[in-house]
Amino acid sequence: MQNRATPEIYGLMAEFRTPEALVAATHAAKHAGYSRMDAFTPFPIEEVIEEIAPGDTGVPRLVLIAGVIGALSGFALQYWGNIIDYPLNIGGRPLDITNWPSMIPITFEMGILLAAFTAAISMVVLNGLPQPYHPAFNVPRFERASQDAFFLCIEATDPLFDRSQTSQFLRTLGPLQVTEVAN
Amino acid sequence: MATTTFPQTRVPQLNRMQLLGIGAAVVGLALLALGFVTNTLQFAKSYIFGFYFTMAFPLGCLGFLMIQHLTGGAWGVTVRRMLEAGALALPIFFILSLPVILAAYNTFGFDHPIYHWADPNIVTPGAPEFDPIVAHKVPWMSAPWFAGRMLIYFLLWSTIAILLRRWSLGQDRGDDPVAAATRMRRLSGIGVALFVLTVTFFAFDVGMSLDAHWYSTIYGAHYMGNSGLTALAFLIIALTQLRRTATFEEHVPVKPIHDLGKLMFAFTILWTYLSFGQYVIIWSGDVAEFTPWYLRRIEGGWLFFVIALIFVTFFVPFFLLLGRKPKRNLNYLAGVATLILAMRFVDMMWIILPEFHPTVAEISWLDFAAPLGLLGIFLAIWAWNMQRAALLPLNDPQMEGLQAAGGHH
Repeated sequence: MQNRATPEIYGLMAEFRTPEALVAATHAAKHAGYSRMDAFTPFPIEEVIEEIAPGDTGVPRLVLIAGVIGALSGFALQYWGNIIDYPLNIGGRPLDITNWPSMIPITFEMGILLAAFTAAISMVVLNGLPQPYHPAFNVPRFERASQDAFFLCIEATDPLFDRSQTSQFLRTLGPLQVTEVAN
Repeated sequence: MATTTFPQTRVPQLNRMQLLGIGAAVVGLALLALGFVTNTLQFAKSYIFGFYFTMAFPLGCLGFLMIQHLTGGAWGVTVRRMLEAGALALPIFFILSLPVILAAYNTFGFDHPIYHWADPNIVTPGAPEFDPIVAHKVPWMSAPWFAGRMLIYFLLWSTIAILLRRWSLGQDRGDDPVAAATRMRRLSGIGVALFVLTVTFFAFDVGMSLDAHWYSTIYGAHYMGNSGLTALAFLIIALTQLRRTATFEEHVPVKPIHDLGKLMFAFTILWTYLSFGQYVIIWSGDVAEFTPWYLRRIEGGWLFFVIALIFVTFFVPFFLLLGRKPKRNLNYLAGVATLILAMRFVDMMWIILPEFHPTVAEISWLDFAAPLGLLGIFLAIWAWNMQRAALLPLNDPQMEGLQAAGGHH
């Protein structure tokens, strides 16, 4: 973004026939120094994910924080309810902190509940979903990405991106076609 | 799909592990022999403990061997040969169960047999220490039927282990790999169901019946969780020795190692769930029939074991294995696995030994000699079997999944 105000195009999209070709192209692009790219495939390909995945999605940290908060609040809720606010003698169990074993199941469940909700919701939100429009849809044949075609997109925001040179580079990787992606 | 024959492998690391196992077995068995002569009662008690602890290794291997045939996956095909080699120790461990069976028969003539249900003073009506609750269990808990059950367990486990190994080696020799995979999957399906039943009763017989009054329906599941965790930790440590072999360098990417790390994480939580589940139910009920088992395990210094178990068996590995990156580093995983394996020993001490030693000060040196000797035997058998086949089942259809996971550079 630093050397152009608004990129005229979203990026350059290369289509490959096989997953092996896409893996090789991803390796080559990474090797050439490109960092802002994305791949579109009908099924997950571990090696491609390794190359293009953002290092830190932030989701694991959020899940940990939510899990700890959930567990602590679950314990506090029971402690306040059963020990402080409305102590009831249930089967002669102690009415102080030594009653902690009976509070562990709920503590555990609350930790899991908040962690799981946070994982699902933060995944959706941080992925920018829901997203009714994406420039990738402008690429011809892009619907094949969910059937039998393998796409690699180098985005215009990449520091190394150059409309003609990047296009040249992608053509050396043996794609079926290279398309400019309209913004 | 090639139909070549794979030569057995010469891996110096495996040879070293075999020698290490033989060394440990010789030292452990020599000490056990010394204990047998000097203190036969303590020998028998320690042997039962060592046997119960060590059986988790071959049983965990057999369980995971069947599970990976059923689920498939890159991790399963990576460790299949290691699981087969471990499960093949089961026929030998049948022979090694002999001292436990002799203890059930009270062959050594102790005044108070180790298994109370084998004590005529307790189970004979009108006897001085007659206990109707224990006597009630005698139709099931009798020495001949105890020995008969052992025979059934080990026959079943050994048959499954040997068949799965034979069919898997058949793939190497060029048998139809898909037909063999189908056969192994079918046997594993039946096998897993029988495994759960037999291991549950095995744990009831050898471990739980040491206190003939007490029972817990989750005891067998706890032993299976323990076996799974034990086997996983062992596999990960053993993998460090095989990772740099040409076969593994060529075929095994990081994904199956990550998967094994995830499984070890899951089994750490499973162990905690089963252990705490049993405790919290008995604690909540607070019934005199069930609480003495726990009281014996917090008095006499055993409380320190509880604290160590809560923190070093759950919290420490939980946080060490929580992240994604550490689980993809085999050496780091092996460090955690060593800690987990050490704590498996501590856990089994806490489960079994309070029946023999009311205070921790009474723990005998034989309680260390027996596991050392038996574990040495297991390691030697494992390494010996590992050297008699290719390190990976290269003709198995599942190998394609391993390639797709990023192998074959």
